[in-house]
Amino acid sequence: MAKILIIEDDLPLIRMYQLAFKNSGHQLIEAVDGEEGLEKIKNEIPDLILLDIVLPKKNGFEVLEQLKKDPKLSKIPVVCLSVLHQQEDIQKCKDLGANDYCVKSDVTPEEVVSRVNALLP
Amino acid sequence: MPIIVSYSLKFVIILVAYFITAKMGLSLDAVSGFATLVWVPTGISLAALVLFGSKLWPAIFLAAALVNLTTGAPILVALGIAIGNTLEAVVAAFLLTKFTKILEFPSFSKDVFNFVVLAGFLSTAISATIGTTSLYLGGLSQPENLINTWTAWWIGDMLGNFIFFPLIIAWKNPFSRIDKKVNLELMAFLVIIIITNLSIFFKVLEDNRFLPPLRLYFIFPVLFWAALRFEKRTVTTAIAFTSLVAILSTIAGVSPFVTSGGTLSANLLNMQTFIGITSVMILTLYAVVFEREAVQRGLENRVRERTQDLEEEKTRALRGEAKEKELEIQERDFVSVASHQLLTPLALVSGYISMLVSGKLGSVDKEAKKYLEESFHGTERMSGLVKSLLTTSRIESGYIKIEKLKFDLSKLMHDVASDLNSKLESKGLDLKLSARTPILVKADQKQTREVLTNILDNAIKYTEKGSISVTISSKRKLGQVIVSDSGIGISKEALPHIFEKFFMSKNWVIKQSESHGLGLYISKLLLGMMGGTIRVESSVGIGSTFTITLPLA
Repeated sequence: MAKILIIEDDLPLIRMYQLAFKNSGHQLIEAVDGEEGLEKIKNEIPDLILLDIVLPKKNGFEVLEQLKKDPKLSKIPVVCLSVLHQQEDIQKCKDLGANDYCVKSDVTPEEVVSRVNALLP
Repeated sequence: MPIIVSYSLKFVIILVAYFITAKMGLSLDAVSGFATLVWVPTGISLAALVLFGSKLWPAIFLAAALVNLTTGAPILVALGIAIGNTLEAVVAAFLLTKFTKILEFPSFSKDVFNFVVLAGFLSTAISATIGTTSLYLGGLSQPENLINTWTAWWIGDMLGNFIFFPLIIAWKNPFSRIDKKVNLELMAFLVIIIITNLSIFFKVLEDNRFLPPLRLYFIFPVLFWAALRFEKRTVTTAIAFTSLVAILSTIAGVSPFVTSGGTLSANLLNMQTFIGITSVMILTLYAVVFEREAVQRGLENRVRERTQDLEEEKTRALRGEAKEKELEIQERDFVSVASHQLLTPLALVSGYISMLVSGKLGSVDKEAKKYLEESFHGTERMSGLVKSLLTTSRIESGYIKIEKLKFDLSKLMHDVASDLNSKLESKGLDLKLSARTPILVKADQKQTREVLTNILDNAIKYTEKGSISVTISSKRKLGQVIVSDSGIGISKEALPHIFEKFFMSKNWVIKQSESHGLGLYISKLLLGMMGGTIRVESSVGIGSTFTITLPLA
């Protein structure tokens, strides 16, 4: 069982992903903005992070940047989960060290689960 | 002179200056004892009223009266002459202030002309007439001498104005800066004008080969030098100095005006004519030179101002441009935000539908599942449309920047194919990819990826069975990608229009739920921006072939 942190400001979407992860054998914890997200990363040390990009307080790019600076946290796999679909945004996340990028409107919740599973040991 | 000099002080200055110069003038040589060769007080009076204002006329009146009384005129005659002298100054000051830029004198040729007429001929006639009449009425002048007296008076006053008024006006700011560059030249000039004057009028350097009248001409180059090269203080001083030397030498009987046969009055008249004409001529020349330089300076200033204006305009334009840019960004942001806001709930809808279809949320009956699948395709189409709208808006607003870099077109095509692999697999299509690697092109990799994804995605979308072949090659100076499918094909009528914006939704029956009519339009735009092309061949029922080219690196 893995602990997965979802950083997402849209609560209906969080509920949907919680539903998708039900029975996946993983625990899904949530944060609703970039700052809370970073705090929970430090306190909870999740096994994987699902990271939205357009977020209040600190956006996903900033979260990713700070995360990768901390040697204790930089190894945690990150899957970006955003509606941003421009190649430049996707490339930026990958350059910042994201392991995968899902365009929310293009992938089904179950695909997200399977891509998460692919990154977990 | 400082403005704070009070009325009484000005009054005293005028009084003393008038009295002393008048006495000096009378002591030299006088006609009827009252009119003199060059009546300096006329120039002083006019300058005083021009500089200090006409309300100081009583100083002139008092000074003139005192001078004449002390010269032996009866009180009424002295008062009459004083009235003439005062009127002369008041009238000239009034006319000059009204019709000329007199404080700038002699900077303008028009003003020099007006000055000669108004202060030279006209106002002096008043003084000469009233003065001569006073002398006659007082019994101090004989009727047969009236014409001579009047003429001498008139010319004396005229010369007083011609020579001393410009001098005083020019020196009204005695300490203002003199161009340092000309200091050496000025020294040379002063030495030369002194030597020339003394040689001409006092025969210091005597050379008998030159006739006396010819010797006078030697002063002109020197005075021209002044008018052409120096500022007004130097010019007016040179004129006054030359005049003074001419007067003194003539009285001393050594000047070229002294001829063996001529009477003293005839000699003096010649001398007066000479200095009168010379002074007017040099003042005119100075004015013309000054005007020309002023025009030049004015032009330069105008050029400078215009340049400044242009700079400002440029700044304003840039600022305007920046504002325009800002608006554009806001607009783009609006579209970005709008697309974000549209896609988020859409992800929710499509997410739940997909989970319903897959049975994750409980069993769904067959018919309901079919409807849900249709709904899911609808959400896919909408998400594709929203994304294409954002891309189109970014391209059309010029936000998308093309970075032309070298990359391998073959590798990129392979990446795109593997991205779309799941779609190929779900439709059971076979992809034949043949490529010579590497094919290095110079283009924007991200945008090329967008185009290739678009074209391959279309091929998958419109092909139900069979295969899709992709060939990457280089031909002449172009890298080429050919994507052929065995799909539904495009009708002849539609074929020329498929790269138009929203063509599909306008003119084509939507057979496939994913199409939205922007993908090919975007692809063509992006390729155009990178120096590439796209063309299509198609037969209904057989398939379509899209050929993309990009410049090789």
